[in-house]
Amino acid sequence: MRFGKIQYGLTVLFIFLSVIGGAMSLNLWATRQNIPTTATVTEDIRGWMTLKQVSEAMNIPVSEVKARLTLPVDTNDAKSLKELSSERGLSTEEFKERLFQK
Amino acid sequence: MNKHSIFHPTRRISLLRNASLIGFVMLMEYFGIRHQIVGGGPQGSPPLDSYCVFGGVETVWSYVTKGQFLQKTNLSNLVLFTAAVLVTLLTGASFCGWICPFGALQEWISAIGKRLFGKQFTLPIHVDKPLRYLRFVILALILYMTISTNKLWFEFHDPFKAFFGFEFELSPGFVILVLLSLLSIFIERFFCKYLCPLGALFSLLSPRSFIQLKRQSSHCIGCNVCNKSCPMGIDVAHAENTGGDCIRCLQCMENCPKPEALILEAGKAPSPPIPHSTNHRH
Ligand code: SF4
Ligand code: SF4
Repeated sequence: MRFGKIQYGLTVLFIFLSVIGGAMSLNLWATRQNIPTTATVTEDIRGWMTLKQVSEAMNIPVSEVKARLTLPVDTNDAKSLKELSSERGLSTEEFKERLFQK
Repeated sequence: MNKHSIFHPTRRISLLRNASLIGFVMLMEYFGIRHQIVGGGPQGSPPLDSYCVFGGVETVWSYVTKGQFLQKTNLSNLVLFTAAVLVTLLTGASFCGWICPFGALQEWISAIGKRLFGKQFTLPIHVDKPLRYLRFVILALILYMTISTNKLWFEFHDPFKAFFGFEFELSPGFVILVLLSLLSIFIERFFCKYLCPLGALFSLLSPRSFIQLKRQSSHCIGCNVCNKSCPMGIDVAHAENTGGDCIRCLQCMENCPKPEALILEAGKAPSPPIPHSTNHRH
């Protein structure tokens, strides 16, 4: 069986997009990240986590999280680690490490 | 060689392929920018990693052995990888020529090089041939490091992420991106030919694909135009079929003066693989 060039190109795109579309319609397409339920090491903490989410994952009060990160007590709990670290000119990694420093 | 504008009727296939590549590049840029603006996590937008086909290769071991995805990957990576494998099994490594946004970037940078120098440079065959195995070494290294560290070890070295992730800070990935961009000016699809771990995987599946790109020697006049237009340095003019390195860009078909010399045919057993040659261009 012979394929024309255009027919071939359209076939490639059709197969690729059909698999993705099929997975979406079967609810097999998931991209969202879940909030970690426990966090015991730096790798468990994600830059997008808010102070509140960090406190829940580490099972410590938000005030303790702020203290470890040397943040003012009135810092918004809904701010993410990434936002807060960049506001202070720090990398998110440095910021996360502070959470586990004794 | 076909010197007409891309909108000329004889170049419809280039127009369609470039439209497809532009579409996928824009989609990736959108995902990258959206993640930077909105942030990640359940309240934000997924990271670029969740839309990466190679992420599916990296996360599959963790998913099969522990039932968990590596951080930043998800079911979407497995779906994308499945789609790309199916495309390769049916049509050859056309993912690289028709869909891959990073391949597209290199191709467009090469076009600048062609305008500047009037040609693309090639490596001598004794360098080119062994260098093509490097991508298998890179694939093995990434898989080994990913499995042993249980995280996306390659992400800091990944030029794809450095570009589409819109985090232009000095990272190994950014340095690799700049180096590759410079190399692409001189050597067409340098990353695809010598470094891409995903391309390495597809090159193993592609020779067994359902649709093959074949040369009919009874129609071929041996003009070598196909060799000159091939971005992957394949010796099309002396091949029975174009083999595992062919990214199915169809530039050889578009430029071939004999309509029946190069054909896309399905359903027959593949012929033996062919030699690569950068020396057959002229
Ligand atoms: S396949 Fe076409 S372009 Fe290539 S050598 Fe034969 S006639 Fe020339
Ligand atoms: S052999 Fe033809 S289709 Fe394959 S990469 Fe070369 S020019 Fe593209």
